[in-house]
Amino acid sequence: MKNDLRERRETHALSQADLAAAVDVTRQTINAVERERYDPSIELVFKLAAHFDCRIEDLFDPELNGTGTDHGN
Amino acid sequence: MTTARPIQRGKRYRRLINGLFAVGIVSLLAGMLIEQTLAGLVVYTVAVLGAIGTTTVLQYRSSVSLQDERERELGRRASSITFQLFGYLGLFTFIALFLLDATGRYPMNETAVTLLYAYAVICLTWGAIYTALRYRS
Repeated sequence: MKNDLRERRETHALSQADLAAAVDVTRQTINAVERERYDPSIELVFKLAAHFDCRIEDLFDPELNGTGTDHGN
Repeated sequence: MTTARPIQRGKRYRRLINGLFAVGIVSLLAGMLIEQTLAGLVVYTVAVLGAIGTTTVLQYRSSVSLQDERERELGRRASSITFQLFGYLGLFTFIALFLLDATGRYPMNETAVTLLYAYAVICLTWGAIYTALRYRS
């Protein structure tokens, strides 16, 4: 899923490890989400949005025009 | 920035569990190499039981997470692919064996029949678990 997680994280001067610790996942998971290799769960999406104090739509673009990827890709 | 969360605390336990498995495997191989197979097997059994026990306790008796959501998803996908691979492989193998047996080219031996039953049990178990999960979801 398209997202601007990397930009948000860098704006907040956070490392992947810092963000991973804040939302209780591994650093590799944050890396996979940023590289759009893994679609996060609803729970993680909510945690990330809450962490950056923004709406989910501000962070993620679900690409609803038929170009979205399956969960876990 | 935060106190250690379950997945962060789980990292050191994962190292411990992986270490126990490594000790067990190395001990078994070393035992076989120096012709002390029984001693190697004892260490292997203790180490593996320790790893399984630690995993079980952490999963059901503590708030520590050994895996995060992506790792669990990877595990599910790996299991699914493995099951599909062996499922199709087994299906075609047993069809071929039945055909060979029916045409008298290669009679099914006891081992093949045992494997066929094991294969059937695995498929039936999958079906039962799938049905139970469907009813629960």
